[in-house]
Amino acid sequence: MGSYNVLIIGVGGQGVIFASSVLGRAALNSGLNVVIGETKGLARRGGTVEAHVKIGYSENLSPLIPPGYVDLLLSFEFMEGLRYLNRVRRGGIAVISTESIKPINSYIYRGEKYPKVDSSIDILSEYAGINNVKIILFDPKPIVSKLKLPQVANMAMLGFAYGVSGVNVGKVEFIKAIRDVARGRYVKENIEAFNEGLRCSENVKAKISKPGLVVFP
Amino acid sequence: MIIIIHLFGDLLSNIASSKGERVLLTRNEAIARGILESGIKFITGYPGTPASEIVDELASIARQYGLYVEWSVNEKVGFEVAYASSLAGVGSAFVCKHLGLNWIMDPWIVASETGVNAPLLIVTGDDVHPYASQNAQDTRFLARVAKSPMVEPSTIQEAKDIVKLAADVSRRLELPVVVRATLRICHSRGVVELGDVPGGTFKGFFKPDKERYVMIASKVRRRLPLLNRKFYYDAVKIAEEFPLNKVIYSDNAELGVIAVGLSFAYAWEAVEMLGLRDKVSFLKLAWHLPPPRELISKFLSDHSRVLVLEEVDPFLENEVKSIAYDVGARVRIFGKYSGHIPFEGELNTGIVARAIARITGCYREVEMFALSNGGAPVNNLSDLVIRRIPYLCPGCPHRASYYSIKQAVKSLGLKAIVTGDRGCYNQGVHPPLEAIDTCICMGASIAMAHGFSKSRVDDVVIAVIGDSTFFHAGLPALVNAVYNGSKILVAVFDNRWTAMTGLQPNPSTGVNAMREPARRFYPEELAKAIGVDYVRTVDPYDVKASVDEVVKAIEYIRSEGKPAVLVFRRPCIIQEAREWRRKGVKPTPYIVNWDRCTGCRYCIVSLGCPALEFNEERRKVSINEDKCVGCGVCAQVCPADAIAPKRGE
Repeated sequence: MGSYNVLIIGVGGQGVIFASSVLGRAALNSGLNVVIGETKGLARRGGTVEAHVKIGYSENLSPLIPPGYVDLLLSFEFMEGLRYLNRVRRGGIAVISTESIKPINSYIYRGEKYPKVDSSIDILSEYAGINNVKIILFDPKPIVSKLKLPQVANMAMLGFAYGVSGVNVGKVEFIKAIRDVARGRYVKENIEAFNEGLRCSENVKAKISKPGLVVFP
Repeated sequence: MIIIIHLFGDLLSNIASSKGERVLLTRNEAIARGILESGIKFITGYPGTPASEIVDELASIARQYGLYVEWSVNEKVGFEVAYASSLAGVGSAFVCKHLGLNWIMDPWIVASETGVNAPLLIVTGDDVHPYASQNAQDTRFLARVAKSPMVEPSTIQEAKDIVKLAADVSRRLELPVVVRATLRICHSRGVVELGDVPGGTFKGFFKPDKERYVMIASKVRRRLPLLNRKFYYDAVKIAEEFPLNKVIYSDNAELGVIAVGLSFAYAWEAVEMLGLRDKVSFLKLAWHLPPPRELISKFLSDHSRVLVLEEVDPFLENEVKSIAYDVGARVRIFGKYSGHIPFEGELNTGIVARAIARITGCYREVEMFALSNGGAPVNNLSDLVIRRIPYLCPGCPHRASYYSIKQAVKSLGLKAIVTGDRGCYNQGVHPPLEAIDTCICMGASIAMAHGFSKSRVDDVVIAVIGDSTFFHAGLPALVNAVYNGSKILVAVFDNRWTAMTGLQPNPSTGVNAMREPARRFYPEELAKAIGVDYVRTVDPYDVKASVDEVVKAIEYIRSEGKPAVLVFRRPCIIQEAREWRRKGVKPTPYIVNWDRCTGCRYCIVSLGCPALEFNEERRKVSINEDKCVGCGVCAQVCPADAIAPKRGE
C-alpha cells in the first residue's frame, strides 16, 4: 500500500488515543499526510481500543488498515497483541507489551484462562517463523518504575517501536508532537519515557534483523 | 467563569484555531468547525454515538463565538427548536445519531413542505456497522421520504468543507439539507486546513404566513408541487455542479467505480494496491440524494462495467440502475445484488480490492488478505485468546442497583421480567449481572413493562430507565402506565449525566449544554405530579437499604395493583472521579483481608466489578487499588466480611 500502517492496540485507559495522536502529529510535523481511524466505543467498559494510523503521501487515505496490511503492530496489552497479530503483513513487526490486563470473565469461567506470557513463547516463535513476522515482547516495567509513573508506558513503547521500525518521521518531530499533544500534562515524563524506549531499541536492533521472537529486556 | 471551564472536564477544543492553520482534527471536530465557518450559530441536538462530540465541541466554545447551543430533551424537540429558529431567519443545525432521525420524521417531512428561511442542516452520525446502536438503518431512505438533499464527506477536509456547501444549498433551495457521516468518518482524524469564521451575532425575526406555516391538509396539497419541483428538479441541477462530486477518468478504463463518501477512499487504495490506476475511472459522489442524473448517465455511457460502492443498503445502486434504464445505457452494474459487496457491515480496502479483483480478473496481492479473512489459522495462537466481556465501570452505581433488584426479587421467592432501556445500564445484560431481559429503543422500558403487566404474566415486571432516557421518552410512557393502571415497578437509575455518550448534561444535571446553571429536575417530583402514589429514593451504594426499598416497592405493586417509582440516585462515577481530580481528592480503596477471604468469589460472580481480581495461586480475591474507587459495595455483599477500607499508612 502507499502508506506506512501502524495499528496501535490496548484496552481503555492505556493511552492508545494519546499515542496515536503523538504519532499522527509527528507525521504531520514531518510534512506527511496522516489519517487515524479509531474504534473506542467500549473503551470505558473494558473493551479493546484500536487506532489505525496511516502515514503517507497520498491524499486519499482511508481510516482503516485492511487485515494483512499492518506494517507495525504496537499493543500495550499482552493478550490483545496476540488477538491482533494476524493483522500484521509478512515482513512486518509486532511490538507487544507483556502487561496483562485480565478480563473479568477470566475470573468467573473455568474455560476462559488468560494466557500466561511464559507459556505463549513457543507458539509465538512458531507463528513468527511461519508468517515471516518479527515479534518483540516488551516489558515496559523497568522504564516505568525508573520514571515512577505508570501512565507513560505507552510513550516508552512508542519510542521503542519507533526505534525498531521504519516510521519515516524525525525524532525532533516526535518530541515536538509530544509537547503538542500532552498540552502541559507530564510533558517531561512523557518525553523521558519516549527517549528511554528509543534507547532500549538500540540494544535489540541486531537481534531483530530476521523474523522471529525477541523478548525484551 | 473558572467553574464553567472546569466543568467541561477533559474537553479542550481543537476547533477554535485560526484561519489557514493545518491541524489534526477528528471528523466530528471538522464538522463542528464547518458549522462555525458556515456562519451557523444556533445548534441543537441529542447525544448519540457517533455524533455527540459535534455538539460538545460547539458547546465548549459557544461563549467565544456567540453561539446558542442546546442539548434538547429529545431529538424531536431539538429538531423543532432548530426549525423554528431557521424560520426566524437564523441559520441552524440539528445534530443526532442515525436513530435520532426516526424521532424527527414527523416534523422533518413538514419542514420540507413549509421550507425554511435560513439554512437548516440536519447532521447525522450513522453507526452503520453498529458499535453502539440497536439497528443499522440506512438513513438515506429517511432523507428521501422527507425530500431533503443529502451530502456525505469522503475525507476529513471534506467533512469541514461540505458543511458550508450544504448550508449554501439549504439557503438556495429553502429546504433542510442533511449532512451524513458514518461512524468511521466521525471517529477518524486527519489533516484539515481551516477557513474563516464569520463574526457577528444573530437576531430572529418571524414574519407570519399562515398559508405556509399552518400545515393543514388543504395547504399541504397546494404546497406539494413546489416541494417536488425543488427536490426532483432544482436540487438535481445543483447536484450536477456540486464541487465535491468528482470524476476521475483513466484512458484505458476497464471499470468505472461510483463511490459514496468513505467508500471512495477504500476504492482509491484498493486500485493502487492492485496496480490498476490506469484501468479504473472514478465517480466520487459527495452529493448522492437526489442523484446528479446527467453526471451519472454520462459516466455510465463511458463504461461497459460499473461497480457501485456504498455502505449499508443498495440505495445508490438502485438509483444508478434506474438512470441506466432511462438513458438506455449498455452497461453491467456490479454492487450488492451481484454479490461483490456485502449488504451488511462497513467496507474496507480489502473488501473493495477483492470485488475489483473479481470483476477485472486481476488478483495481484489479493491472496494477502486471505491470511486473516477466513484463512485457516496458521498455528494455535488464536486458542490462547479469550473474549473481553464489557463491564460497568468500577464503582458504577448501576451495578449496585442491579444487584439490589436481583437480591430483592430472589428474597421474595419471585421471578421478574426486567425491561431495560438505552444507556450505560444496558451493559447490565452482560455476565455476570445478566440483569435485563429486553432493550430496544429509547423509553421502551416503561411501555414494555406496562405491556407485559397487562398481558397478565405471573412475574413481577420491573422497568429500568436512566435519567436522560426518562426525560427523553419515559415520561409519556409513565403517564400511560398510570392512566391505564399498571402493576409495574419503574426503577430510575439517576446518575445525573448522559454518561454513555460521553457525559452530556441533561435535565437531571443542573446545568445546560453551555454549562450555565439550569433548573434541576427530579424524576420523583415528576412521578408524583403524574400521579404515581408510591415514590421512593435510595442510594444504591447502601445495599441493604436498596434491597429493602425494592422489596417494599414490589410488595406495594402486588398488593395495590398500581405502579411504583423507585429512584436510585448516585452521580456517575466517571464524573465524580473528574471532580475528585479537580479537587485533589483521592478515594480510599478497599482491601481484602486474606485471613478471612474464603475464596468463594461471590463478590466477583455477583458484581463483576473490574477492580476485583482472583489470585489463582493463593485462591483469594484481591482488589486492584488503581481501579478501586471505594464505593464499598463489595464489602457489603461479602459473605465472610473480609473486605474493608484500606487504613491510612
